[in-house]
Amino acid sequence: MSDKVIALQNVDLIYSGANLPVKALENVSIHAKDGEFVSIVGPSGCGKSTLLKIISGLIPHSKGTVLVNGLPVDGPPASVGIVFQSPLLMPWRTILDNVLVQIDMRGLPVEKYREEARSLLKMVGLSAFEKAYPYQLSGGMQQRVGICRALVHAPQLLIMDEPFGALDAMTREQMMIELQRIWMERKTTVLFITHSLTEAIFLSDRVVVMGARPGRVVGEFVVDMARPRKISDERSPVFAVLADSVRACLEESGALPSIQSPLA
Amino acid sequence: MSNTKLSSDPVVGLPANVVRRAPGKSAGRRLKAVVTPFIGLAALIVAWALITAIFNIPDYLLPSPATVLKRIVTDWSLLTRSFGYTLLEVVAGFCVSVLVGIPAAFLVVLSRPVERILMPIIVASQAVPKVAIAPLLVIWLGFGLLPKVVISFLIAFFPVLVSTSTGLRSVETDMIDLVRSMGASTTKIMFKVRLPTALPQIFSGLKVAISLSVVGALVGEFVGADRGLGYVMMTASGALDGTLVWATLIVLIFLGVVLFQLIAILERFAIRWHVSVRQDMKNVATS
Repeated sequence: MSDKVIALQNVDLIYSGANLPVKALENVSIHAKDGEFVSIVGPSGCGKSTLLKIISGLIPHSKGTVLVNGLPVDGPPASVGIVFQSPLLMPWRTILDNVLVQIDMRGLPVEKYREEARSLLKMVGLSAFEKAYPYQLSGGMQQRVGICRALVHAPQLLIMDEPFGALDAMTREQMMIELQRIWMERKTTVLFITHSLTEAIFLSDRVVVMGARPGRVVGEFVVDMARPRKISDERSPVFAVLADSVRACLEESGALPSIQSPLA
Repeated sequence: MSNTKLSSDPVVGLPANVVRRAPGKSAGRRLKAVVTPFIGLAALIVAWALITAIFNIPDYLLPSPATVLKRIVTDWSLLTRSFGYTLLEVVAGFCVSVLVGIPAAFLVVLSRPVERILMPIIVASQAVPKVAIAPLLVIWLGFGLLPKVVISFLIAFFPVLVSTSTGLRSVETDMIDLVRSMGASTTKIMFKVRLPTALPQIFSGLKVAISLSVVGALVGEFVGADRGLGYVMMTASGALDGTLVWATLIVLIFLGVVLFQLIAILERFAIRWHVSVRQDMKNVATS
C-alpha cells in the first residue's frame, strides 16, 4: 500500500460542458510502485494529459481516489516534478536559474539547491551552459534543462507528458538513452505519457494502454527486458512481440486503424 | 572556481552580451547606428531649405530652416520656459497613465468581474474625442496644470492598459500549469511569470503612451492656457507669426523625440536590470 507512489482507483472525470457533461475519464485505475517506470500510451483524446493534471493536482477528479505518495491529492503535491512537451524555459532567466524555478516557485531556499541544480546540469552535460540563456540552446538541450528543473527538488515522482514529442528522431533516441540513465541513477518513479510505442516499451517497466472517448485503461503490459537497454534492442524479438501486442490492444479499442487497412 | 573560466567560454559569453564585440568593429558599427537616423533628417532639412529658397516662400507661410533656427535663438528664454512647462504636463500625464494603467491591467487580468465592469467604461472613455471634452475640463479645472495632465492621462493610459493586460495574458497555458504544479500562488505567478513575460509589450505601450501624452498636453494648452508650447504656438499663429510657430514646432518635436528615446533607453535598462539582479545574486552566492 504505502510503497505505491501513484494509486488511482476507479477515477472518473466529468467535464460539465456548456451543453452536455463530457466524460473524459472513466473508471481509471493506475498504480506505480516506488522506483517503477510506467508509461501511458494511447491515442489523442484518451485523457492522458487530463490524467497528468489530476495527478499533479491541477484539476479535481469527479469520482474515485487519487493518492500520490499515499496522500490524497488536493492541490499540487510537494514531491512531484513535471516535464511537458515544450521545455517551457523562461527566456529572462539563465539556464541555472531556470532549473531553480522549481525551488523559487515552491518557496524553498534557492541558495540551498544551487549545488544540486549544478550537479543535475552536469549529469546531462550542460555544465558549461549554466550562465547561458535558453535561446542559446538547441531543442534537445532545452528539454534536458526541463528535466533538471523537474528533478532539482528530488521528487519521488517524475511525470513526463510527451517530453520528446517535439524533438527530431536522432535527438529523441539520445534522450531516451539519457532518460534511462538518469532514471537508473536516481531511481525516481516515472510516469511517462507518450504516443510512441517505441519510447514506451524502450523505457518502461510497465506500459498502460488507454482508449479514447471516454478515456479508460484498455490494457497493461509488463516489459521484461534487461537494463540498461540499448537502441538496438528495439529490433529484438521480445521488443517486436510486445510492440505487436500493444498495437493490437490499441486497435481493439478502436484507436488505430487495423493493419489491413490500405491507409495504414 | 572553474565557473569564471566557463563564463569566458565564447559559446556562452558572446551572445549573452552583444556589447562585448571586437572593439574596432563595434565602434564602427555604433557610429553607423548613431549617424544613420540623421541622414534622413539632414535630407529633409536640405529639401526644406531648397524649397523655401527656390519658390521664394514668405516667412509667414513657411520660413527657411535658418530663419527658424535664428528665431529659436532670439526667443530662447520664452521657448525654454514654455518647454519646461509643457514637459512638466507631459511627464505628469504620462506618470499618472502608468500609475493607473499598469495596476488597472493587473486587476483586469486577475479578475473577470473587474474586467467586465471596467472594460466597457474604459472603452467608452476612448470613444469620446478628447478634443471635444477638453473645453469642459478647462471649465471644471481651470487654466492651470491640472486639466492638461488630465487630458494627457485620458489619452495615454489606454495603450498602457491594453498593452500591459495583453502582455500579462500572453503566457502559455502550459507554463501556467507548470508553475501551478510547483505550488506557485497567483501573486507569485503574476510577478515572476506574467510580468517578466509582459515586459516587452508593456514597453511598446509606454512608447505609444509617451507620444500620446505630448498630444494630450498640447490639446489642453490649445483649449485654455496662459503658458506652454501649445499656448505659444496658438498666440503666434493668431498673430500670423509663422516663424515663431515653426520655432515652437521644432522645440515640440525635440521634446517628443527626447522623451521617446528616454523610454527606449529605459527599456534596454529594464532587460539589463533583470540580468544584473541575477548577477548580483550569484556574486552573493559565491562570496
